[in-house]
Order: sequence, then structure tokens, then C-alpha cells
Amino acid sequence: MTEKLHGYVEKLKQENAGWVTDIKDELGEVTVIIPREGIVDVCRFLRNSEGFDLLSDLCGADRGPEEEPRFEVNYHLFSTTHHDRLRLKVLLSEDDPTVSTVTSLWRTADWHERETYDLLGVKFEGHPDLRRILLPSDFDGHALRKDYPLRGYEPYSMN
Amino acid sequence: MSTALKDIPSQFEVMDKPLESQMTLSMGPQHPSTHGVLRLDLRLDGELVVKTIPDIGYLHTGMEKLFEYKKYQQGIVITDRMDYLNPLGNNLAYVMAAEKLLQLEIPQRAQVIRVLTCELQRIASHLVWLGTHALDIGAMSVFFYCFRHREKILNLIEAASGGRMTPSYFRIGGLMMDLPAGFERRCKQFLDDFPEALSTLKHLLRETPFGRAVPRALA
Repeated sequence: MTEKLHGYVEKLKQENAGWVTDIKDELGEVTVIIPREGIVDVCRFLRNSEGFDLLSDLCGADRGPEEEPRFEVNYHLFSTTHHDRLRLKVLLSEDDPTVSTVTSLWRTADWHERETYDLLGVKFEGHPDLRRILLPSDFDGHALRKDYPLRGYEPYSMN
Repeated sequence: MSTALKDIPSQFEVMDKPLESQMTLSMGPQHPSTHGVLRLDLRLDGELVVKTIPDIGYLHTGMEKLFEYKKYQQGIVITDRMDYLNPLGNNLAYVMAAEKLLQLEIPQRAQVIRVLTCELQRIASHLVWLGTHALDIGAMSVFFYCFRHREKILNLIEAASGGRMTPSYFRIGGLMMDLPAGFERRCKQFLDDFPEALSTLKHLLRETPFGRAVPRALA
């Protein structure tokens, strides 16, 4: 079921062996772990050569403060021509949660990256306008981090 | 129109001219039609909007955070509130994700009931779209006709689940419970009545003075 998806991963490896750290094949979905230095090049290759023309989602995740690396950024790619889905994943440490932006490849990444920055504190280098998008600009902390309490630290006032 | 569109700068280009020629206007947080709350920072050059900075956070409900504190079965209740016009569709997406992780196989009867109720919900959701859209362009009565028929679907969903707007009908692995006695008859009744209701709506949107005026206004 996922042979075709593995074909894309093989092409990635042939192009640059350093691009693929790990491959996960579970429940009919293929996830490729990419070193963060390579994410823009990998995305550009998949978009230009393999037809993954749509970034259907970009989201972050906090694996928990005790995990190392703590953060992950997931890129859900989709092709409008051959209808395959591939997930790319970049793992980031808590000390330096920074990854290059892919806004130059897909304009839609703009707001998705802002949301990831807003809720998890992952920074996207080279992003044209990295501001909070959902929470107020003076909000303290990043609400979707696992160590952020459900009700926040103090009553938040819109003033 | 096309010239004005051409003049609009790209999203990443910062337009900062002195205030003599431009002004900033805050539009919202209530949009005139208020289907969703939104604030827009408009930069005006005369009467032309040259830049818009949307502030979209007013509708953010923090549901992902709420899920962190719930068990998987409890999460279904939250999914009802994601899109209050299509709670069953959200129930379905959520329980299917959990079922995929657990690699569960769902009884066929439950699958069929899921499809059936989701399709009814979809009609109800589209009726709200049609009604409010007609309302926005000035036709009041279409809205009432749409909501009358939507109510019939909500009654069916209420009969099945106990809730009109927040059914929480699906469970991980199946359904909350089977359809009640008499559901089939009521569902068939609705399906028999609905085509006529649709032609009434079509008539209201096309054959009334309003319906004839809209295409002329757009031409």
C-alpha cells in the first residue's frame, strides 16, 4: 500500500543521502524524518521534481518537557496530480527550536508557521512576518506547550 | 476592478506612507454579518483599501489544549462544538482518527448509521449556508424556509442521539446507541417532503422580484 510513497523516499535518498534521517511506515502513512538543515531543500525537491505541489498542513507538536528532542514540526504534503500524501517531520531541541521557513515555496506556510510560533514557540528563520496569529500580541508564554497549564498562569485581561 | 487589483501590493510588501495620504481603520471585531468574529486593520489610501491585516484569533477556542486534559471518549463532546452546524461530521473525523490508531473494525450497521446521519447533518448545514447567504444579499424569507426544514433534520438527530446541536452520537468503535424505533419512518417522511421544499427555495431565489433583481445587479 505504501510502496509508492517509499519510492519518493528512495528518490530523496538518491538525491542526497543526508536528507533522510529515519522513515516511519505506520497505518498506511509514511513519515520521513528530515534533519532541520535540509528541510527547505527537501521540500523544494519534492515540490519541483515529485509533484507535491500542495502543503496541506504544517503544524508543530510538543512531545513533552522530558523528551529530547522536545519539539517536532510536521509538513503534510499532498500532490494534486498523483494524489499521494507524504509527511515530513523535523525534530527540534528545546534549547534551539528554530527551523528555516518554507514560505518561499508555499505562501500558505505563512499563517501555519505563525500559528506554530504562537502556540509552541518554534521560530521560523527567514519568515517575513513572524507575529502571533491567534493569541494577543502581549500574551505570555506558548499555550500549547505541555507544561503550560490549562487555565494559564493568571487571569488574562484584554486590556 | 482589474486595475485596482493590480495596484494592491503583495502580502509581504510593507506599505508605509505618511499619514497625509493614508489612514488606518479598524474594522471589527464584529463583521457586519457576524458569522464569525473577525477584526481587520485596513490601510486606506483615499477610499481604496491598499492593505489588510486580519486579526483572526477571536474565534480561537483552545480546543487542542482542552483535549490534553480529557480522555479519548470525553473528547467527542468537544468535537461537537468545533463546527456547531456539522457536529456529526466532526464526531466522525475524531473517532475515525482514534479508530485508526487502535486499528478497530466498526460493525457494518454502525458504519451505515454514521453515513446516514452525517448526510442528514450535511443537508442541515448547507441549509444554514443557503439561508444566511440569502439573508446577506437581502432575501429574508429564504432564511425562514431553510431553517424550517433544518429543524426537521435536527429533530431526527435529536431522536437518535438526544441532542439537537450537540449530539455526540458517535463513539470510538461505533455509536452511542442504535437508532430509535420509528426513525426509519420519520426519515423517509423527511426525504419524501424535501424535494418539494427544495423547489420552493429555488422558486424564492429565482422567481421572486428579489431573485430576478440579483442577476441584473451582478450583470
